[in-house]
This record gives sequence, C-alpha cells and structure tokens, in this order.
Amino acid sequence: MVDYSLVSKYPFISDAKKLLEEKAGNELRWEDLEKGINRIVSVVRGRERSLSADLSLKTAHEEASLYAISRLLLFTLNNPLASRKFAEEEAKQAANLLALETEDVFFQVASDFFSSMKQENREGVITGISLGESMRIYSISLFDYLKYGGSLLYAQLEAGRVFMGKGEFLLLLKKAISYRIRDSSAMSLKSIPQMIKDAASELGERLPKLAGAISMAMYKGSYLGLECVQKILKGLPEGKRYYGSMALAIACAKDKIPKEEAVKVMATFVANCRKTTHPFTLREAISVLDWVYKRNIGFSCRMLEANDLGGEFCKVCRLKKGFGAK
Amino acid sequence: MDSFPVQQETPEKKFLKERFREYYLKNLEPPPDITKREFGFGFEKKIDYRHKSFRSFQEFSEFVSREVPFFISYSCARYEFPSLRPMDRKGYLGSDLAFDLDRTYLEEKHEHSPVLCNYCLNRIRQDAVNLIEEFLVSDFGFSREEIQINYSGSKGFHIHLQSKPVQELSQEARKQILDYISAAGLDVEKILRREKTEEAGYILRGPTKHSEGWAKKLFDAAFKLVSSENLEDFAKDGIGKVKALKIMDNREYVLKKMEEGNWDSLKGLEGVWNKLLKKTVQLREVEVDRQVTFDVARLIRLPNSIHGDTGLIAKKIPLSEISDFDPTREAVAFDGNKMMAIVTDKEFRLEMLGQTTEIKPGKNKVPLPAGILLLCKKKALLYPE
Repeated sequence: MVDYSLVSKYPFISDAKKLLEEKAGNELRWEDLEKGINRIVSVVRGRERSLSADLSLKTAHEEASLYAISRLLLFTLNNPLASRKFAEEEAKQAANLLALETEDVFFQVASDFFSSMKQENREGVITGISLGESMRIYSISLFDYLKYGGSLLYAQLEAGRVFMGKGEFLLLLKKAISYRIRDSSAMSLKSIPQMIKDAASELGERLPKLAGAISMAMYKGSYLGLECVQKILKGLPEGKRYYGSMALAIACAKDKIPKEEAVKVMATFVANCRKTTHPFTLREAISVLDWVYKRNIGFSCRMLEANDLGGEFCKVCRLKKGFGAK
Repeated sequence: MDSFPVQQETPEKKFLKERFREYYLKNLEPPPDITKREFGFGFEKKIDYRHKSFRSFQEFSEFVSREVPFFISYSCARYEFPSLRPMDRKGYLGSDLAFDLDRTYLEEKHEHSPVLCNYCLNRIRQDAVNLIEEFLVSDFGFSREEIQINYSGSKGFHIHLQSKPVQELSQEARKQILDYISAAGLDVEKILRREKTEEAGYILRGPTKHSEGWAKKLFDAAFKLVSSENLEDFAKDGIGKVKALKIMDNREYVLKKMEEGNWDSLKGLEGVWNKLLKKTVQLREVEVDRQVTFDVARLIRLPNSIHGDTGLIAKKIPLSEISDFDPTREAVAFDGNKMMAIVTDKEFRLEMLGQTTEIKPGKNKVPLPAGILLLCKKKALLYPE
C-alpha cells in the first residue's frame, strides 16, 4: 500500500515509482516538461521546495511525475555539475525535513535506502556522547554502509554492522538520497523522445552558471598540463578509470587547485568517460579526490606507465627532463 | 584454443613441465564460475598471456595438460565476455574480494632464507589469522564458512571471499576495507580528543566500554594495560615507573572512568595514552598487497595450482588448520621418496616433508621436491645421468 503523504514529500522513494507504474498511460505534455524545468532551476538556485498541504493521491502523483521528469531532463542534458547540484539540494532539503519527522516516518524513508536498517538501544557506543545515557541509535549492514561511501576508519563497526547516532545517520541518508537522485544507470539516451531533448536544451539555457565555467587556464598547471594527464581528462575506458581519476586528482593537488575547482575537473573527466556496463560516477571520482586531498601523494609516472595511461608521452615529457625531479 | 608460441625449452624446463603435467592430470580444480573468469598463464614470467577464457572445465583442463604453464592465474572478477579486450568490452559482473599477504619481515631479527623463509612465513601466517579473526569475522561479520584461504605457493597466503554482496562492492568500498584493516590514515587524536564539558571544562574524551571498531581495539589495549599488576608491562609500553605506580594506585578509578569514556581521571597521562594507542595500531594493523584487493581487474593464483617459482602447491587450507599449516610438508606436490640429481654452485639447507637436505656445491642426489624447488628457483641445473 503506497503512502501518499510520504511520496508527496519524498518523491525519490521506491513507492513513488510504484505509484507512477500504477497510474501510467498519461501522455507527456509540454507544460509538464516546463514544470520540470522550473523545478530544476529553482532547486539548483537553492530555493526551498514548497510542500503542498494536501498530501493526497493527486499530489503524490504530481510530485512523483515532476521528480521523474526532472531526472529525465537532467540525464538528457548530460551536465554532471547540474545533476550533482540538483541532487545535493534535493537531498539537503529532504534531510532537513526528515530530521523533524516522527520516528516511524524517519524509519520508513530511511529503510527504503538501507534495507538492513535496525533501531537499537545501546549505551554510550559513540565516543563523546553523554556518558551512561541511553540513546537511540541505528545500525545498518557493512555493505549498506559502504554502498553510500561511509568512512570505515572511525565507524562503530561490529560483526558486520555499523552503529550510528541519528545525526551521523542523517548525514549518510542525505548522501544516499543524493546518489539515488543522480543515479542514471537505468536510463538510456536512445529511448528519449525529441520533446524531452528539446526541453533539456531549454533547461541548459535557463540553468544558472554553476560556480563559473572551468577555465582552460586551470588545465595548464604544471601537472594538469602534462600530455598524459590531458589524455586522461579526455576520458578512459573501464578498467583504467580509477587509476586515471587518481592521477587527475593528484595532478590537481600538486597544482594546488582548490578542491571545489578540482571537483569540476573530475566532473569533466566523468562526463568524458564512456558509459559502460559498470559506470564510473562522479561520486567515485570525488571520493578519489577526497582521498588524495587528505594526503600528500606524489605524482607517479611509473604508476601511469604501469597502467598504460599515457606512457607514450614519457619520452617527450618535461618531468623526465628534470622538471619536478626534486 | 590455439597453442601458445613454443618456448625455448632447456632440459630443466622440460623436466619441470613433465612433473607439473603429471600433477595437473590428477589435481586441477576449477574456480567457481570458470566460464566467467579471465585466465592468465606464465611460462617465463608470472603472467605472459592473459585475456584467456574457457567454455568448460574440460577445455581448461585439456589446455593446462597440453601447455603446462608454470603459473596459472585467474581473475577475481567475473565477466560476461572474459576474453574480450580492452577491459571495458568484457562486461564486468562483479568481483571476489581477495587479500594477498606476502610481505617479508627483514626488519625483524632472524636468519632470513631467500629460498623459503620459515620465519617470514610464520609471521605472515599470524597476520592472516589476525586478518581473519579480528577483521573479517569479528568486525566485518563474515562467517568462517565463506572465507577461503590458500597458501600462495611461495611467500604468503591468499584469502578469498566470494559471496554476492562482496561481488557488488565498488572500488571505493574496497579501498575503505583496505584502509580499515591497515589503519591507513587513522588519526589517534580523532579517537582521543579534548572536549569541553559543562562540569569539568576540557577533558580528554576517548573510547568507552561500548565502543566498536578501531575505537574498541584501542580501548581494549589500554584497558588491558591498566588492569595489569606488573610494572614490566608498563615498562614495555614505555611508561616510566612513577606514572605506572600512579596508574596502579588508582587502577579501579581509572578503569571505571575509562569505561565511561573519560581518559582524564589522572592528569598528565595524555602522552601515555597517545603512545600506547599508536603502538596498538601498529601491532594490530595488517599489511596486505593493496593492489590485489583494490584492483578488480587483477589476476590471482589459482588455488591448488603449482607456483612455478617453488614447485609448491598454492594449497587450499581449511580455516581450522591454518595455525598448524606447514607448506614444507603440506604444499609439496611431488613424491619425497623419489630422488633426482642436480648440480649447483652454492650450499643450501632445505627442510621438506620433515627431512633436512644438505646441498653442497657440485653434484647432489636430492629428494624430488627439494630438487624441483632449486630448479624452479634457478639455483641448480639437472645433472645429466
């Protein structure tokens, strides 16, 4: 049984999809697409979504359709920065709303993402909490936790379950919501009707410039300007993308590019990578970037050569002629 | 499948090939989902050829008996089309989680043998047990039944996990797992930190008795030390007599406060805790070959195949027997009652199948497993008879 009020507020939950499948058949109209464009532009600008007081089937259906159209438009537009911004803003708003929900509603929405979720009552599991005080915490399986990029090092991990307080769990849930909104692995450009392609073009024109376009000058840093790195930036096939993203992230760090700017470099790389059976996502690229920016890692030509990433440029490379040799 | 190009075969290679063939005719085992795996074979190096696949175990078995590679590796990953190139055409379906423990312990004082070092092997075995018990079972919650361990055939051990959730782990998740077991980037000061409280101002807050993960490992180590009644235990951890006596005199109080997460019950111990926790991290982290775990396109030695550098079997080991596993007895592929003649220019002392073989420069009659080990290591030649 679909809970309409939940779908109205959280149109990214699985029930929304069920609802759309049940009520399929309506023809897509240009005004629906326009509503989608408006919604994306508004969300990307950071405006809060206004919730209807009427949480009926009709509202639920409208919200679910609007959400689906928005994702379809963003997928067709193929602008990773816009998709990311949209997903993050939607997730942020949803997490804020969820923090105020009853325990039942919170559990219902969260368990849609973490099927292994359990509520636990344990004492003082997390360091730094009020000592001896009983608190409500949640646990999820290690695999669920890792799926959404949780960091294990400081996790309260026991027998394959990770325990978290509500604050920490909300942060993870926000990430999970954002990933789901961005996930386009089930979509295919081949089946997109022309009307949606036209709407996506219009969306592209109406979207605000996201943190400025990436300047070409940025790509000409000492390391980012290397021919092998430039080749990586143009995209790589499966099997090479992780090493490629690592090399790009190290090049950004070595060129002292601020992390927010480096995210754009990674987004360009992700967009340039071919979509294959195992897509390389911006999330993966950014986690590489996070990892690299936390450490001081040297740029390794040997690693690039070993992974067949631009070894052909080594003979003419300035690094081998003494640049950066010290 | 076509034959590989004929290799330049020395008498030693011909001899080894014959022995390996005899072994494979009786002992070859397929990996799970053999048709979805990519294989790599080594005749000179560990992997000379890769991107091979087989439609059945029979085809694989015929190939191995015909070509007799010195090294057989297979992909941890499963693919729709394992032989296609480049990698992105293979159609990745998921990958086992594998750990390769093969470090040497040269920094620890022992008589290191470059041929087969029992000391290093024992230390790696301890690491493998630690990885399984402390991390894979206790922290990650894997059941012992789903953990498969095998000797690498040379310097270490391989651990494989193949369940469905494991197959779906992303590379980022694999990196998280690696960072966790090797404590890479673990900042003890994040676990033990100064925090402001309303009642007592800043206090040193640390793990509690309910902590889990690394916080628990660190709590247990500190709790064990404070519980000790032996001054020497404190000295081993670099804690001077004065501080140790102070802790011992207030033991019950310190322990009670630690259980609650207050590590500041006695002032002036912050340095002691930090040192102890850093040492605990060093003792409990496990060093593995990161690439093997992380790189889903990696090939790994086929369990129960022969390692071409030693002639020993990459033997599967029941988990309950890992502590007693002795490769010089249990990973020997060839009959120790048969003798062979070799010639060498060095001295060796080899222990295999419970026998010690002293080898002198010149001609030697040695048991087959010892002779094959030296031929594989290129430390001896066949003595023509």
